[in-house]
Order: sequence, then structure tokens, then C-alpha cells
Amino acid sequence: MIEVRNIVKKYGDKYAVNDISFAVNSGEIVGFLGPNGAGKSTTMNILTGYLSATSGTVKIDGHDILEEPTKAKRLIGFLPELPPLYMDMTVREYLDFVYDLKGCKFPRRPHIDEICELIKITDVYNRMIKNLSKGYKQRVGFAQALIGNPPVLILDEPTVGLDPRQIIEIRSLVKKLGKTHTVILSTHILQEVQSVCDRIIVINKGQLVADGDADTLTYKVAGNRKLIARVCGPKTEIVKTLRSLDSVIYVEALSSKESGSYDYLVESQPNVDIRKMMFSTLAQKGWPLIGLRSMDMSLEDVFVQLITNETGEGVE
Amino acid sequence: MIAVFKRELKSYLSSPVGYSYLFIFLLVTGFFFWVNNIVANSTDTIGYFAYTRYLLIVILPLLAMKLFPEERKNKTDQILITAPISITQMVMGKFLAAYTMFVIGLIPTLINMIFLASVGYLEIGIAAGNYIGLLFIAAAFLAIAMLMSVLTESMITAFIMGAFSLALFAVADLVAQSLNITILSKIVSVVSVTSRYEQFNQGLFNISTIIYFLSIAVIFIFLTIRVIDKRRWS
Repeated sequence: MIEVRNIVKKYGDKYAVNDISFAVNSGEIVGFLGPNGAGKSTTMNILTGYLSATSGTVKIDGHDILEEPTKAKRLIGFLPELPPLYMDMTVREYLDFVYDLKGCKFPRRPHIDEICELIKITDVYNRMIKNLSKGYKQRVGFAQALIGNPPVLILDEPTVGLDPRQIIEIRSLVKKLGKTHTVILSTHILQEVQSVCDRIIVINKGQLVADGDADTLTYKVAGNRKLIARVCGPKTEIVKTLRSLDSVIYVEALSSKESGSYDYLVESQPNVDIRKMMFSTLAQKGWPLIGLRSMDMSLEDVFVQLITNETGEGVE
Repeated sequence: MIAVFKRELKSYLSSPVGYSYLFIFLLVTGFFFWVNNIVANSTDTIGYFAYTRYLLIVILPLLAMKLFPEERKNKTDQILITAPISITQMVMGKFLAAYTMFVIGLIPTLINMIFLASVGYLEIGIAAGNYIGLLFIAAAFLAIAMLMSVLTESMITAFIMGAFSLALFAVADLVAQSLNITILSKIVSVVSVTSRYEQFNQGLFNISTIIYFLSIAVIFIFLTIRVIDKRRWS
């Protein structure tokens, strides 16, 4: 549905986007992830034809955004970072304007009413946009993107500035729309990607550093298994004993959080569970294991690792 | 294009800018009429139209300044540029809305002419020629002021740059005369608006004059489109 090939965007001699390529299939929900200034918005602006890439091509359902802009743009609903609202219009006037602008063929009132129902803005329908709260403004921006029922939705940080309840609503809405639309959404909130997207594309410093689903990314980045164990007993001897266990790669005494005990970081080879062995060994020696938790990498860790690993080695 | 045109026109009529324009235009032309015709007890309209023409220099930038700076500042240009319409359609929609506002302001001034005709002898040729002249000169002036408005994100700057560049066009004659270098003064007088306009003042229709004003409008509309398009690449 969306095909992006080698797009580059240069500002002066600085690269905002440096050779990004990916393809999105029909019906996928793809999350664009990256720190601020990574090039997410620039990429989205290029996808929608707001900016032109210095080089590279973007095709929406086979239509090149530069060569057949009208055909390609007709397929896209775009919610920019800042919703493009005219403050001097009412919601109704604004949506009517967007309807005309996009040259929609659907019957006007039922189509707009349906979208307002879906986005829950029916109760502010006749109010001036400038008097709406941030949450409602964001939703009107969302409604605008849906007008004309475009098969591709490009949403630039759709939940920024909303309260938690609204965020949940918007997320479930995106999920619902994802069943019938192809969605690309950008965010720097990881839970959002985790809860909404089928696939994650991580961008850092204008480059694509990872592309895959959450589990794949975690697996690729995670490496060794890490455990934190809290054990009572003599520090050096415990470290020595733990190091002598099979499959253990690294042991480090961390700090004392409870009197008489120490926390230890234990790293083992991936795919080996050393917990039972560790427990019985410590029990034999008479050193009680009073706490054990695994340090599974959260998506946060994966993300931090990805964007600090500048070359992106080992990751697709 | 029609969507942009309708929105822009509606926005003129729901904002202080549109009403200030109409108010100032009618007030000042009314004042010119009062001084030139009522107080002077004359039906000669040449002076009245000459003043009105100079008024356009400072008042048309009022209409043009609203067209682009706000869109860029509020990022509403994103919806226009990513919509399935061409940049040309968008610019034309905006230009025509501003032009329509000018025409809306011009219509009530016809009352002045009707009044003159009813109380004395009005030279219809001069009045008609001047109205047609105003319609063409306003198209050219608006296009110039529109280019200035697309270059900045501030309405005030757009207004000042617009008025300044229009003033340059209007006084090009005086500059041409004061220059002693023949080639330069020739070039300047070619682009001069004032000398061309004199023909309308005499109630003459010269096709080349009309083409001159239209081509200025077309060139500056084209430049506006190019600026917007170019911005996407830089």
C-alpha cells in the first residue's frame, strides 16, 4: 500500500532523513518510533506530499506522490503534529470545508455525521474551534483526516497533549480503524506502540535503525538474560559461588537494600533458566535467597539500546 | 479551488480584517468624493479616481496580508498542500477571494456616480474607463501584494512589504523622470503603472494596457505558486 524507497531529506548539508526505505502492507498498523528530532515528522510530511524529498520515491498504492500528487493524496488522511485547524470556523464549517477541499463523493451530511459520531465530537459540532479544549481540537483534527474515508491514515503523534482517558479512547479508535485502514502513527510513547501497533519502525538521527514487531526487536537487542537476586550471607563468597554456576556469564554485587543482604546482578546465557539451580545451590550453602526478579528488557530498554547503538549493528 | 475560495471569503467576512478593509475603503473614497466633487461642486471625477488609485497602494495589502502568513504560522497550510488539489488551485482560490473582496468594496462607490449623474452631467466614458481600469490595476496590485504575503510569516511584515512594493510600482514614473540615464529610465517607464493608467482616465480602452496589467497579475501569481512549491524542496 505504501512504498518508500531511499528517501533523503537534506536541509543545507544536514540530513533530516537519511536513506529510509520501507513498505507497509494494506491493513497494517505501523508505529514510527524515535526520539524528538529523529526525523519522524519529516518522513511523514514527505509521505503526505507536504515536503518533497531531496531524493527517493514515495508511492501510495502505486501512485507516486510527486508524479501523480492528486491521485496519491486522495488516498491519504493526514493528521499533522499540530492539527491544521482554522480557529475562526465552527467544527461544522471546518468539516464542510475539508469535505469540499477533498472533493468527496459520499453524501455530505451522513458522511460527516458518521465521522463525528465515531470521533465523539457531535456535542461540539456548532462551536468555534478556537473555544475548544486541546483534546477536542485534536479530535477535530482526527475527524478531518477521516473525511473522504481514505484507505491510508498517517497520524503524527495523535495522542500528544490529551488526558489519560482521551488517550485510551484515541488508541482504541486507532485500533478499530486499523481493521479497515492502513495506519502509520508516530509517537515517542512506547506503551502506545506496544498497545496499538502490529509493527514498529525505529528511526534515529534520520536513519531507520530497526523494523519488526515488538518481540522480534526485543529478541534482537536483548542478548543475555539478567536476574537480580537478593541473598543473605557473605558477599565475596556468594559472588564466587554464583560465578561457578553453569551458564552464568557475569555476576556483580550491587548494593545492600536490606540489612544483612546484598543484591546481585546475575547474567546468564540466553534461553537458559538458572533460577532453580541458583536457588538450590544457595540453599545448600545456607545462604537464604530472599528475593529474585528477572530483568526482562522492556521496550524502553530496547528503544534506548537501539538509539544509543549508533551504527545499529546486529539489527536490521 | 472553490473550497479554498469559499473559506477565504467567509473568513474575510467573519474577521476584523475584512470589515476594516471595507470600512476604510468606503470611508476614504467617500472622503475623496466629498472633497473632490461635493465641496468643489464639480462632476469631474478624474481627481477622485486618481486618489482612489493611490489608495489601492496602501489598502490592497490589507487584503493580501491575510492570505498566507497565518496559514504558515498555524500550520494550516498542511491541510491545503496535502489535500488532493494543486498548489495553483489553492493560490487561485485565495487570490480570487481577495479580489472578490475588492469588488465587494467597489460596488457601493457606484452610488457616488449615480448621485453625480442625477444632479449634473457625468462623463460616463471617464467613469466607466476608470472603473474598468481599477478592476485591472487591482488584479495586478493584489498579485504583487500576495507574493509579498507568501514570503513572510507575519501579517504586519506582509502589509508593509506589500504597500512598499506597490508604491515602488506606482512611482516608477517619477523615478524614471528623475533618472538621467536614458536606458534605465526607459526600462523603468516600461514597468510603470501610472503612465499606462492615464489611458483609462481618458476613457480609452487599449488592449495592450489591459494585457499589461493582466500579465503582471499572471506573473506574480505564478511567482507565488513557485515560492510555495520551492519551499517544499528546501
